[in-house]
Amino acid sequence: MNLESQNLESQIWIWTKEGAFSSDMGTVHALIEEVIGAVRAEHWTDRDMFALELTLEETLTNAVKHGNHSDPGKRVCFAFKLCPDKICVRIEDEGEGFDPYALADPREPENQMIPSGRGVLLIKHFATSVKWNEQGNVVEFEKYRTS
Amino acid sequence: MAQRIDVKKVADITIATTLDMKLNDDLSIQEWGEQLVALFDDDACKKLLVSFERVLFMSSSALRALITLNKKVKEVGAHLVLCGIDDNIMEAFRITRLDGIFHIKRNEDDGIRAFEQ
Repeated sequence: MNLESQNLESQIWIWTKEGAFSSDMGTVHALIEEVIGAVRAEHWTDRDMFALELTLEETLTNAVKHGNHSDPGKRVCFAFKLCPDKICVRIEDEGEGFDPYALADPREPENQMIPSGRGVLLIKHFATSVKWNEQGNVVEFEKYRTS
Repeated sequence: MAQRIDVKKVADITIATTLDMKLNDDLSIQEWGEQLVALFDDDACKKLLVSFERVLFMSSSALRALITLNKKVKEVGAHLVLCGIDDNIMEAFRITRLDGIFHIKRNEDDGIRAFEQ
């Protein structure tokens, strides 16, 4: 076990949930509601709740739609770990992955009318930290409570 | 199809108030976008004010629907103003720089006045 893992395991988690589901957006929204309910009980601010919900929405939607192409035969694995001041999230899909740093920047004038590409930008902004694995089919993010 | 917008007219301005508090699931976003675009079936609709005063959450899919609406607005030579956007959602507009594409006003009254300028 490396140092990072030891630090994670030494956290006192007040709520955890992990599992997997078949690629379906209905399940995504039920799962988000469950996570939001657990975090709301810790009295996070509206702004923090919005940031978390949007990051969950975009990462889970990416996994179902872009990773697994909404194939119900493919699964999305998830892990949520909550302590009072932060939540750690890990989401893995069965897709071929993507390079989140090679996407066309939707803020550039030539890309502003392209409908897609804003989800990853929102994830990078609203999560406290985020990283993808090399293949791009696993995303891990942390969201800290700001006040 | 569920009703996703409430529509009224003030002079020659069509005001479409978004009814959903959350714009994040595919069906509601698709219906909302289609109902907004369908307003231009009426050739007289040249000034459209879309109100978000009831909306507390929007995903990037909803932003995508707005970009599609904006293309329709340009096709028909109309004018589009957005209003009543919650501060958290406004941050998403700023991050994606959509605040530079759309004409955005704080509330419905300011939105109506924007067409007079």
